[in-house]
Amino acid sequence: MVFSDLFFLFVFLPVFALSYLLAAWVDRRKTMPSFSWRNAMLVLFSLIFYAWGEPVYVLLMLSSVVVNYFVGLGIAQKGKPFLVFGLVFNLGVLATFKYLSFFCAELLSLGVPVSVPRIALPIGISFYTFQSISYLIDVYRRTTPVQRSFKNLLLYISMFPQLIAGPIVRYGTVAHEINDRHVNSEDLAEGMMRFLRGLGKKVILANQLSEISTQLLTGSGLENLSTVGSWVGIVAFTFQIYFDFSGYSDMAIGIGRCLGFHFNENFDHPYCCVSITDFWRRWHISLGTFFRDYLYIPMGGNRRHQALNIMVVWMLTGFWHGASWNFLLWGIFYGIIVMVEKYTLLKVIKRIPQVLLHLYSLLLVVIGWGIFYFEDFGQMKQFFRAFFGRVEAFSDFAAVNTLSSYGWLWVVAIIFSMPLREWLNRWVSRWQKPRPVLLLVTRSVLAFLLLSASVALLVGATNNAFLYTRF
Amino acid sequence: MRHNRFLVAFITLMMAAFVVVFCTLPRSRYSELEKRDLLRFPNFSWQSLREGNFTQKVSNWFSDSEPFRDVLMRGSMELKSQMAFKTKSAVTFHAAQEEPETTMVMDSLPKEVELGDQRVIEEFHNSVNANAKMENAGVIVVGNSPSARALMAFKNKNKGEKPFAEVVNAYQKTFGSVANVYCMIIPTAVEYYCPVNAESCTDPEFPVLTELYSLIDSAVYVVDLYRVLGEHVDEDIYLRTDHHWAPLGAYYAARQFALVADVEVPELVNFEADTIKNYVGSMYGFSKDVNVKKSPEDFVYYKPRGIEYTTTYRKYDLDEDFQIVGEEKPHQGDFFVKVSGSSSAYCTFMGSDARITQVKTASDCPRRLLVMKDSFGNAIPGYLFGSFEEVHVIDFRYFTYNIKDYVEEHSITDILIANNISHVCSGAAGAYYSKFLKK
Repeated sequence: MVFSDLFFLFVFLPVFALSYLLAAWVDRRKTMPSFSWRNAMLVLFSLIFYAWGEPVYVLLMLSSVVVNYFVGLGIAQKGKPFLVFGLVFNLGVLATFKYLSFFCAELLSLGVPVSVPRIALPIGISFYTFQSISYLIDVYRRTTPVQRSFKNLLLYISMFPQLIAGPIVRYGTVAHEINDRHVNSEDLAEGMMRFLRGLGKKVILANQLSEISTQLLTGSGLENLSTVGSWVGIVAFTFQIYFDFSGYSDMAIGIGRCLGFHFNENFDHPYCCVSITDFWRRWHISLGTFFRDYLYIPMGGNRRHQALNIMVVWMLTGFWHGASWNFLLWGIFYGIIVMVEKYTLLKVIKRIPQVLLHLYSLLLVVIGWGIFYFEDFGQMKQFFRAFFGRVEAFSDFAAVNTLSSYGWLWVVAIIFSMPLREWLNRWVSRWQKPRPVLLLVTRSVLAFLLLSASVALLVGATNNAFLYTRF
Repeated sequence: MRHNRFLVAFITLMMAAFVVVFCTLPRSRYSELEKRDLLRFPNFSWQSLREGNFTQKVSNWFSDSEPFRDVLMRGSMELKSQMAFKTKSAVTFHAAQEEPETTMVMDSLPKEVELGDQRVIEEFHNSVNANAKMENAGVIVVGNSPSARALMAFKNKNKGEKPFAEVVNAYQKTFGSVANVYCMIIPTAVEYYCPVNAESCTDPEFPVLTELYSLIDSAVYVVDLYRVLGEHVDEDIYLRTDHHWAPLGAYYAARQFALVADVEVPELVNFEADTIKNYVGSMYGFSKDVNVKKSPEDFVYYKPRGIEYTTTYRKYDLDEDFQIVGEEKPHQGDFFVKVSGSSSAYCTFMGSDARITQVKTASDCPRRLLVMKDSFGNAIPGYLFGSFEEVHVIDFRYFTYNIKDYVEEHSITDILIANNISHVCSGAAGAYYSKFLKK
């Protein structure tokens, strides 16, 4: 089940909301002070949410929680050996379910006689495994206390808002709120608006942009790709993946807020970056900080063999996205750029005009998405030949047509990838304090437009899956 | 605080309203817009639950059969059309999209209900299986409402022309001694109406036709329509909103066939014209372009005047997957079926494809014609009732007999194989025709 599914919006979510409110009412009566019905309801619906798409793999997730629960207790008592075991277990699960088939197939293609297991990738395994790892390491470092309640740990790992596509929520971020959280009308209003904004990003923008990228970069579109077509297609994907993933994060953060959880931000207008280093401070922040805190710094960070540390981190960042060589290449691509920037650009960045920095960064980001998009190296080569003008056709009708047929979509996509709200807030507050009634009317109209447009566009939608649920 | 509460209440009410609509109102079962049955609630089995199929199908069902689906779809199309920068002479290209589980097909089978003496077509239903449908390679929409024209792009991916030519030659070898064999390949509208700037979205049909005809044995009578239709492109020979040609295009084709077959077809004025107003055909569903919806056209068809004929149908029963599960007893009916509503206009000819049609005429010509066709061919036979004493029509997707037996049993003297180029090149048509010889 995904957030932008009509079944989720109009069956799962309302049933969950009513059940949760009922549970909250029971909790307030304090008939069982030591038991949180709200949490129980959240766990129950989280498991249903996951099992809806993965009826068998829900057992894998539950098993993972059980092991991590006992490993956490073990770390609290015995320290490192349990941490090592926990890391081996979690990474082993990830390696088995995400990478084993891939490596076996690669070995087979090299002539090594191995059988290739047919293992389907469990949805969200990359996210919940990393959450489990963060929990174990934080307990080992004593930055957060061990969770002695199994149901609370189960809640942390299985919580449906962030279960299948992040953000990767650190245990410390929500540890306190698991047992003690309060929701006021501001939380609800902000959470709902955030959810609708995310829904709009996904359905109104990302889904339409995916029609352009799919048309130009797959099938016969790719076979006849012109230079203009390759640029239009990959720029469409550049916007698509941003609105898709940040839309999901908005929805997750929004639902979390309605439940009383405050997840950290996962995006900070990444396409406004002035360098690639800056881009990665703004893109998928929860993954970047995970690798920084749990890998880069423990490996030595800036203090020793920094270049090696950077390359290892970026290779793993790339490979985290999927069992395919193009993701590894994508990671290496960024690793090299970040390293080069460290010794060159970042030292003189203040002396270079901002517009040049934006152009430089966006060009590299777009090239990066070109590597990311094509798992097949033959197709990737075909794409980059077109991208760099090494094909006969400079332009073609289908590509030019997508510019006019989706003209306003492009405009809106460009505008909404910039910090529009911040600018508006700043601009408005300059001449007067916003009137609450005006703000309310604006937000109500916005909510109405976002929800009704999203519902209309969801009818008959065939390309509705979130990109990051496959990682 | 108070304002936040109001906002929360407003959003909650909106959500509640949608929940009421989506969960309590009757669900849609058929989309006239997409011309397909919508998904039904899936059958439960423990295995499908374990494999995740059941839950997936429930989600799909919920998203596919929502109340007021066509209304919401129209809203969606309107919204999408607003994303475009408007120009007066717009040409847009809609790439082929993934299809939902129930397939919208190019040719539709209307459900017939008896109302007094008349057969009235009440609604559409899917008719053919997936491999028999015209390949959807994308739709080019030329111009804006109210006169937009939607063109199905032609992509010759399967290169089915050679096997098709071989099958036609095999028919000549098999029947050459008892019947004349004619081959008519019908170009599609995109060949004539595609703007120059959109030509890269479609493959040219003329080279394919040339190649095809060069592969066909000289003993086969080729009914070449390319030039004939080309001379009339200023007239309404193709429908603007449907993937089919217009009855007028079929008339010129029938005239050309008559010329090759050495029979007479009267001038158009000798036919009785009838018009179905506000027709919007299949291309709206394919392109999902609201411009097409806002460009209804007149569906003008021609009935023979002053010629007596009787039509006998042998209808096939189809299951939910559109597979043949039975055959009704022969019964008489109207060749030109009265349709209710304008969306079924093309079903005027015989009502559907899933049947064998036999028309006995009062013509004094002793020849008997068998038309083997796809849905494009439906519009041809009506012009030939004065030219043959019997006209038989079979659709290559719905025929369960040995063709040799059929030809012999009915003393057929002329066999016209008439199909549009997309079906020919898809490989499907050739495979079916070949099968009929071997049954």
